[in-house]
Amino acid sequence: MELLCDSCNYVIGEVGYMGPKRLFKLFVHRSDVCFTESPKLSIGLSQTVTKEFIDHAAAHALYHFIIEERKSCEPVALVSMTAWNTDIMAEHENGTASGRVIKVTYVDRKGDGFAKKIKDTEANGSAEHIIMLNDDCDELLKTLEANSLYYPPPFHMMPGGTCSFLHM
Amino acid sequence: MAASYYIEVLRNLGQVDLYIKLDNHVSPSDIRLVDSKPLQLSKTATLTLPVSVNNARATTSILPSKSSKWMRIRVPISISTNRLQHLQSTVPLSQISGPICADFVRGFASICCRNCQTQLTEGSMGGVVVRDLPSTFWSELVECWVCHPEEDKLRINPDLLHLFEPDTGKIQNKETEEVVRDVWVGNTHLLAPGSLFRELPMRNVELDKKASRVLLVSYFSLDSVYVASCFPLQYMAFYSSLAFNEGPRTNCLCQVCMCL
Repeated sequence: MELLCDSCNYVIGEVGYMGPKRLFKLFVHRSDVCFTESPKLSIGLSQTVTKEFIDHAAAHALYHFIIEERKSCEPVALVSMTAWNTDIMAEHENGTASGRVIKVTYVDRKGDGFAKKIKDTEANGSAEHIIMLNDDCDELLKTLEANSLYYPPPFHMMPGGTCSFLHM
Repeated sequence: MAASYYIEVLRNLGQVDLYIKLDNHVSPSDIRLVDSKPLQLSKTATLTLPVSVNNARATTSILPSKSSKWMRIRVPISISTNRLQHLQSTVPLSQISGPICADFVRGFASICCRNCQTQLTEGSMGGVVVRDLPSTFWSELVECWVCHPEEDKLRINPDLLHLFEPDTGKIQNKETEEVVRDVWVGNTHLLAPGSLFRELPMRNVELDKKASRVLLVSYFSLDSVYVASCFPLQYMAFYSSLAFNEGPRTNCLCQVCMCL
């Protein structure tokens, strides 16, 4: 059961039980933690997805992730984490980026041979499934696409897909 | 016009790679590493690199590209300590901290919607205890650290611990909500009692028919955060710390097991 904001109907989390306790599970990238004297704590989708990737990789030594939409359960992207804790500085005509990132290659559902890649990856059991809200899948794909533009053209495409990064 | 560049610090390799787009404003003769940190891109533009580099050992090359010309400079990081210390300072995956933890949340005044900034909590948050949840995979990882040969006799039985179950509207006979004021902080979510919040709307997750197999799958991965009513929180913290430890412990979990 999804938990919504009563003002704008934005999905902020889900409702569930932990034993007898009824709890709200708030997604940190969809809610802000506010303080009286300090600035609010606002965490982006990129950071939560990155942490999810890192946790999976640390526990299972798997570095490929099939991103699935929650509503349709259809895969929307195959993301491979190729490096982490990389500091970058980048600039192009439309923006700047800096900070600590994980480097990834990805193929989205519009990419050539996407269905086959997903099938192969699932067959050899080398990927984890990450299920996300549809809106978050769209936002993640937009972020990956925007960040890929920072790469120099000769390194834009790799055998694993398009090169990009996500902020940690 | 600003120069286009992409710079990445490859700490494990001890290298910095600099890619600079060559155009009318930036020519190879203008680009030079002035000192250990500043990088001059043109007569007017200078960058400060994130780390000190040994510019005497820089190598340059021009990358082949149809659309634009890019120059690559590969330069070693200046390492003040010796190479072994440098390698040992590398943070393992399991010890990379997340974007949120209990320390960041402690003392919070309210929780607001990201979209419209409406306050979702109700009343004062004084007296709310904020704690970290264990690693999502602690129950899998703990098997690596337990050195009991008689593991089947362990009194830790994850089956007796509770899993966060999303409310599908089908769960019946749950006890009434306890009046708790604890907030647990996971890597990507907060778990909080409904009593802290205003009356918020809820709706069933609408899934396509063929997707019904994942009804019990929580957001992101399967959430294996276990909290038992008989499982004191200090032990959760203990297991959490275990999950983040680098290697097997010489002390096994016997003392904890006895307590449980």
